[in-house]
Amino acid sequence: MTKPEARINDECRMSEWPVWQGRAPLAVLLLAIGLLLTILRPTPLPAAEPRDYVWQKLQDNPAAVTSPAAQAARAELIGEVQKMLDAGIVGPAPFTVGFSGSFICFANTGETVFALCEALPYLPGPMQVRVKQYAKDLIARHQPWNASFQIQVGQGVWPHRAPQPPELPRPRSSEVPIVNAYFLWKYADATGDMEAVRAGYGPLRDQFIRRVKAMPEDYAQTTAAIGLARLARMLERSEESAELEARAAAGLKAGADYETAFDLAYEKNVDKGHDWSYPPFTEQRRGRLVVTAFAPEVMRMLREQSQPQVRAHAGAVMDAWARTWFMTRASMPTFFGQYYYTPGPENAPNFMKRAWAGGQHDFGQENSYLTPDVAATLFVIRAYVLGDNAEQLSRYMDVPWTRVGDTYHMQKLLAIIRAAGPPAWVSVAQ
Amino acid sequence: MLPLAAPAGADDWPQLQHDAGRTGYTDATVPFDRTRKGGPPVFESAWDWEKPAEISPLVQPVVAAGIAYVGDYDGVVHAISMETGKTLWTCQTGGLIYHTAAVHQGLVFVGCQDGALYAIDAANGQIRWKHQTGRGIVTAPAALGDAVFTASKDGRLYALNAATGRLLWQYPAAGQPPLAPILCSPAAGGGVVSFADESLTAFAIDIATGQLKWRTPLRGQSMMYFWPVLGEKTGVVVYRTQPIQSFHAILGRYDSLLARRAGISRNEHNKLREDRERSRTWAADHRELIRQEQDYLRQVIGENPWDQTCFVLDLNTGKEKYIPPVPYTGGGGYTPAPPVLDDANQRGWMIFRSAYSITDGGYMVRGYTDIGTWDPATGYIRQIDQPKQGWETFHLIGDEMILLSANKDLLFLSTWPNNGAIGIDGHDSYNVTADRKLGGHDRDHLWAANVGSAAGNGGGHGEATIVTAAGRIVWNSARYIRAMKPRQQ
Repeated sequence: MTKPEARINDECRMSEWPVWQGRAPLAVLLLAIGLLLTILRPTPLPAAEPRDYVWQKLQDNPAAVTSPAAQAARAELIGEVQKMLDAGIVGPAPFTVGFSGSFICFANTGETVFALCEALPYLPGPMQVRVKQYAKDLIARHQPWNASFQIQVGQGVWPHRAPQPPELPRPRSSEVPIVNAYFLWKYADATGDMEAVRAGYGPLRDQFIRRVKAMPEDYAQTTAAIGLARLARMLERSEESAELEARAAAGLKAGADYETAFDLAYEKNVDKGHDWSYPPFTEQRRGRLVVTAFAPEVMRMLREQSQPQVRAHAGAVMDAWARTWFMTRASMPTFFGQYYYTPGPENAPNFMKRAWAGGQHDFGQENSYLTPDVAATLFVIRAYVLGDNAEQLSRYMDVPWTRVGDTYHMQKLLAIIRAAGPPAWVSVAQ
Repeated sequence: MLPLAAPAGADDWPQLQHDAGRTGYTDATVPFDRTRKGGPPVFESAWDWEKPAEISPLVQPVVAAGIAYVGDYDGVVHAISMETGKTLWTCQTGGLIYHTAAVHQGLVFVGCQDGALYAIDAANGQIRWKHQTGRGIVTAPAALGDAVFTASKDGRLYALNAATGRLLWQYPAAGQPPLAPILCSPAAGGGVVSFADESLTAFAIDIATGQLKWRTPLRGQSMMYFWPVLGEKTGVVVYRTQPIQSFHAILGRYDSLLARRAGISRNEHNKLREDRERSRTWAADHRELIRQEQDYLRQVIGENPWDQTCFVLDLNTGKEKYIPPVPYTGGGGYTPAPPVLDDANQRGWMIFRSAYSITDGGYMVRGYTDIGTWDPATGYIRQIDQPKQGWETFHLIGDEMILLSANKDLLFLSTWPNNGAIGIDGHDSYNVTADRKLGGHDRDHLWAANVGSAAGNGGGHGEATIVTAAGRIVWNSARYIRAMKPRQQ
């Protein structure tokens, strides 16, 4: 039986920064000598300094979109954006999965605006103008620094394909997603709308200061710190920007330990009694509203610092446990596929080992299907962290979850387009 | 001219739920010792075929001419001898296989996530032809006459010449906008092929012309990999849909409604169940009481249309014949199990809910869920008087998935830990799984049962429907394709 890491290695390019090889035996040794662990474990950053991840952005290159897979993805992306423009404001999409109740996706203004702005360079010129106006209108109506939700159930264009009853679950009250700071930076960078920056920076920074400890605990918080540092620089608040940069850098450095970061995110976002997800980039989920940030900067750091770890971790899921991870509305996996029959492979990620020990109710078996964030998260990991090319990625494309407004689908298409060429990073000042 | 159903071998199970109509019923049987009612297993292992790769719990083994066929997540189709359990050949397709194959006129048809329907020579595993669609195929094909039908996530239904793969028609026609993605396996018969897309609209397409015969909106959030049940003689097509609401909320609401109406508390229900377990005539003696309850359920569901997850449509017009007295009956938010239909005799079996049920003998997770004999003409369901017999506790898990299939003698109920059967005549219960441990509630049943019994784990994955073919019963368990034969004395 093919081991997952072997199979995924066949399909992916190896890291150009193979740091931390042989980490496991080293860790055993270090555990035996106690305190040295914390001294020797800090992350080496040979490829790029944390500062680079904060201050460099991914540069899009529409001219490089020449492969058939990338061209097909671009055509589909344009079609998906066109559907949103035609529909107007799109309402949220609840998914009722079973015991865990409903999850509401595509309802955070910040994510919607981010997905549209990411797509901008690959859209025809006239459509770019319309998209910018769409984003501006959306932000004006549902400020991502004030309102948690871009729209309430029962408002806007219903995104699902089938009619739904009016009494569907409403989003619970929720705090403003702090990753909206990063999304707001992206919007401002793409549109030049400084008015939104001036209005949104303060409230979002206040949320961040109130909710985030000295060092960001997960990738969502780190993403928020990156966004705030950039917004502060836009506003020429250099002192605040430096402080936020330091926070972001600390988060990035700690976040190079993917397993630990993942476990924290899993603990925060998954009801282990009945649910399962793959939430490293998730800010919130258990409160029903799913907020996820796929920041290329964070995934670049993982690619350069932790690719083997991510490969083993995500590969165990994609190749062994959840073979249908990429399918829209895939059934919840049954136990652990091939792992079910073993007491637990040595290379199993922690969250899977816990599941073995936890009895049936750690398996998430009373939900009927994987929520939309699972496929999107694993897909962008394949694209940005593991380095699949456009042809490889296109094998894992499936149909959108909704008739209109599936921003995860749009981000997957964008990942295919970008995978047509090597990533280029440029200063945000450029 | 309409294609006529090419009769499969009497002892075959060549398609998902046996036939193109997805009735789940076969006139074949497997002899068993009726004196073992309520006692030790009536079958014993013929062979276990260990899966070389993971196989979707939605895959039923299909069987023709003594060979079983299954496809796996690596895209490999396997042919397995029903006699020996040995692999006869394998065939590599282009992507993950998620649902059941069909074997028809010497070809094995299987849909693939790479978007192609493959036709494979049943004798040697060579690919004869393939037809590429625009998106992945996660449904089971239906074969009828000279045609094979496949539904794709590209939002189209394709009718192909079974022998050559030539496109006969597609719906919607080329150049027309597609439907929503299709996750529902089509059913064929009575001159139509019927399916539903993810807009929750049911369609019937005229097989001869490829033209729309009718379309009917349903309600729910998805079809999620299930199938309509189509009865030519009965003149109905039955759809079940995935509920929109949390399944425990629906179950709980109807618990309360049923209990309040009947005036039966939980404790009193336990007493009622004990009474029923001592009687062979309780349901027959209380038929009017049960009918009144079902009239009440029809009224409540009619007043709360979003609660409806079971739709019985007229095969010719698509009009709803009646509101079935069947609230949500599944688990994990899954699409509830479709009924089984003995079309020739115009009778069926359906999971339903009643305050007068006999259910959950072991788990008491959720009362009021039961199996009954369903009259397709009227929709009324008669409870099965089925006294508790010996070991028997398989009898449903009231908040989880229970899938049905039947042969001439036995109605099989598959839940995630247990497989059991009720005699179609006499209603005695029979142990199907290999030993006491698998059928009962031993501490380790969670593990043991998943190796030995149904494919899934709790909550909803009860998809390991039992297939009767070639003198054996066979099913897709977690680790094996398992075949059983009559137990020797």
